[in-house]
Amino acid sequence: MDNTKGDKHDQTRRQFLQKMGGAGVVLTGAPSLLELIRRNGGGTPARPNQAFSPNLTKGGQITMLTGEAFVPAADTVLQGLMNDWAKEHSGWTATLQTVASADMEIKVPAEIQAQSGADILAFTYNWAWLYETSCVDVTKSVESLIKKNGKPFYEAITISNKVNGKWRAFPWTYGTAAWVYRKDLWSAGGHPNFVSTYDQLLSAGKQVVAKTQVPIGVALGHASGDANIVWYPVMWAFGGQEVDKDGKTVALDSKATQNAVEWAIEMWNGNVESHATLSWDDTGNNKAWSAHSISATVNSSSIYTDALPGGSAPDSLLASQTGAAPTLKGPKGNPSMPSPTSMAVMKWSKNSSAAAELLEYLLQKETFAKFLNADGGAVAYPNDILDDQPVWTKDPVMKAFNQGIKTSRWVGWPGPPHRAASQAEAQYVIVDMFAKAVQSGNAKSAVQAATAQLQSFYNRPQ
Amino acid sequence: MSAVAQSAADQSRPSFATRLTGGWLDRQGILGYVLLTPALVILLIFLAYPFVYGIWLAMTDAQIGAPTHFVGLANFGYLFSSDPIYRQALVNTFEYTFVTVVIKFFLGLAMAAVLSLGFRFNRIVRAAMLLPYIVPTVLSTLAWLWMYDSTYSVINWMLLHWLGIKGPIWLSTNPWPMISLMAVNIWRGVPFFGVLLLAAMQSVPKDLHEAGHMDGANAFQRWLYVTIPSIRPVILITTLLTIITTFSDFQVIWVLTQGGPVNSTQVLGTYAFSTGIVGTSIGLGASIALTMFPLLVIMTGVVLWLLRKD
Repeated sequence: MDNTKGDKHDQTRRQFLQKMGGAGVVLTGAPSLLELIRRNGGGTPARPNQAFSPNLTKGGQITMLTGEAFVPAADTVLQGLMNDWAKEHSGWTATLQTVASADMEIKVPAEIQAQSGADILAFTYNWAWLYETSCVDVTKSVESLIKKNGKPFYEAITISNKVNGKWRAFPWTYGTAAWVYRKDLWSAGGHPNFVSTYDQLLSAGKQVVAKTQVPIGVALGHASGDANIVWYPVMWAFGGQEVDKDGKTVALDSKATQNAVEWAIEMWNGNVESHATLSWDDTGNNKAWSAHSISATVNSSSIYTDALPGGSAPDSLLASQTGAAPTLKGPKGNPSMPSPTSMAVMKWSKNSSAAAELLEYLLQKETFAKFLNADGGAVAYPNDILDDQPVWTKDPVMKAFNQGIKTSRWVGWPGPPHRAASQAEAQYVIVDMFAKAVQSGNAKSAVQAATAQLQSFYNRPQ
Repeated sequence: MSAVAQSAADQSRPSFATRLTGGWLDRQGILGYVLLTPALVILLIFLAYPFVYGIWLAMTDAQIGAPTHFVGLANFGYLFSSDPIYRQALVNTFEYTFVTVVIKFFLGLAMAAVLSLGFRFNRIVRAAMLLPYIVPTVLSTLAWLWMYDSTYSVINWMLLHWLGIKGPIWLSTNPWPMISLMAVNIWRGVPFFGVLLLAAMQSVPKDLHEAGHMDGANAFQRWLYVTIPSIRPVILITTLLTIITTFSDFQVIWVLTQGGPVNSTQVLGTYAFSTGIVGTSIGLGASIALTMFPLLVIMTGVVLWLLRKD
């Protein structure tokens, strides 16, 4: 007898697939429905705001996640300072976790989306605005720190971290940046002390190129650090701006912006700006500088300190012939945009009070000076109370790197640095405006295209 | 009881497994489900769940670190009506996919045809040909990044020193950035075509070729009229898989240009990532990624229809 024929569980392939498909829908849909209910009920972050722990007597562990310092020794010093704090607080440990700086762009959103991770996260630019609801209000601690320091933090850093009247992150550092130039090449072109305005950069740059055949190079590709810190300030220096003060009305399409773009076109057409820069990421100018193929660029001090004896890429020519100049002036001032870093205490931390106290300790003048000097000038303190440190005074070249922040602005200036401004920056709207213009030679159409893009960001479903 | 009777009784007694499961596993229908369950669970967790969650995200205004609201199809409306970068990324994606798949197909076919010939060191050559496909994408693309570097390009060095030609700045001005990306994708993808088509060619029955030979067909005619029709299903499946992976490519582009300069190499994969993660609009990023789905479904449908026609 054939037992299988009469088995009621026998089925065709089609029946089997139908059943499995149904099960699949139920199994995949159920968690999503739960998610849907959860989201509509409260949205991200779903977890309740952890209140500050009442005291530090219970002990515990604090982790701080940051991007790696340019100088590895600085991270060792920072961990040592954290250990010092832990020694003063029985039962506590404080651990520094580092990842490659570029990876923080991925790591931080991932932790915030998951609402778990390190107690303290390093933010950059306006992340305190983006992730406001995930950050503990640290107003009390920051105000206390300002009182101890006797000075407020720089305006751009304050605006980046103080969201709707509340400090959502501690100002930590800003990445130093300056115009770095080759003294020998600029002397050959008749400008031994470099230049101080964008117009001079164009005219003097032509002379240097004519004499030396070496152009300047600032990134025009999708380089999140180097391209943005150059081209936003160029736009501002000529009087251009993305939006009005309300932070909503796009105001890019103006004569001032067009002037800035035309200046860039002249730089390009006159071969003052290297034509390789369209392809550069954040390492492009460093590679070109160390290959001696550009005469000037904008960078942090690492481009200089790396070339010094004992640096990571010693180069006697670059060590002796590097000069540095602060942000250049345009018709409307000398704005800059060095990238600020801040430290946010996250709401999922069970030790938020201790984390805030740790940061307050680290940011005290005497404590932070140790980290600052170990870092060799790649970053600086977010106000001027440490301007007298050896890292800035010992070597005259270093001084310029600590000047940019004093005229710093922020993405979305003069409006608040909110999400739309940040999205426009992430999509390189301003950088691409200049990049498009130098390729096409048409300033007007580049500005109009960028304006349309900006409008699309500011009109996005937010 | 005789030995024969004892043996018959043993055989008729249910096995331990059958007794343990009450005989359920002896039923074909149930056993099928049991055997499929591990694979199905993995599929549900790692494929179906993210996919459904992605659909949900695409219909919200989700921003990382902010409350989420259902917005229906507003994200898609925005993409199609107001986002010039999306339109450019869509065009770039089609261009990138079409050009590379066509070239990969012909080069892969040629590679398979050559490798199917018997020659010395054939096996070593086959293994070497697979290298681009085996090396992790990011790693090999980083090597290409150096080869394309505006300062240290070894390609330009060779062009200059061997041929006296000044090479372009590969990742800089149009059309070179897109061409450079396509070259890397083709370099990586040809072995996939080559190896699958080679395996298919080797499974073509020899008697078909012999019959063709007896009918007076020359080698090329036999290849064209015997080999190619015989491996048509493999060609279609390989093309389909390549279209899917190329259309959703991310790594090569992100490592080399991040979509720049001026979005000239922005494709849907990179735009979804930069919008959703870097730009923190995870809902909009999901909707960008999701727009790839119907396009891929159509392409898959066409290929499957052609297969079924066979």
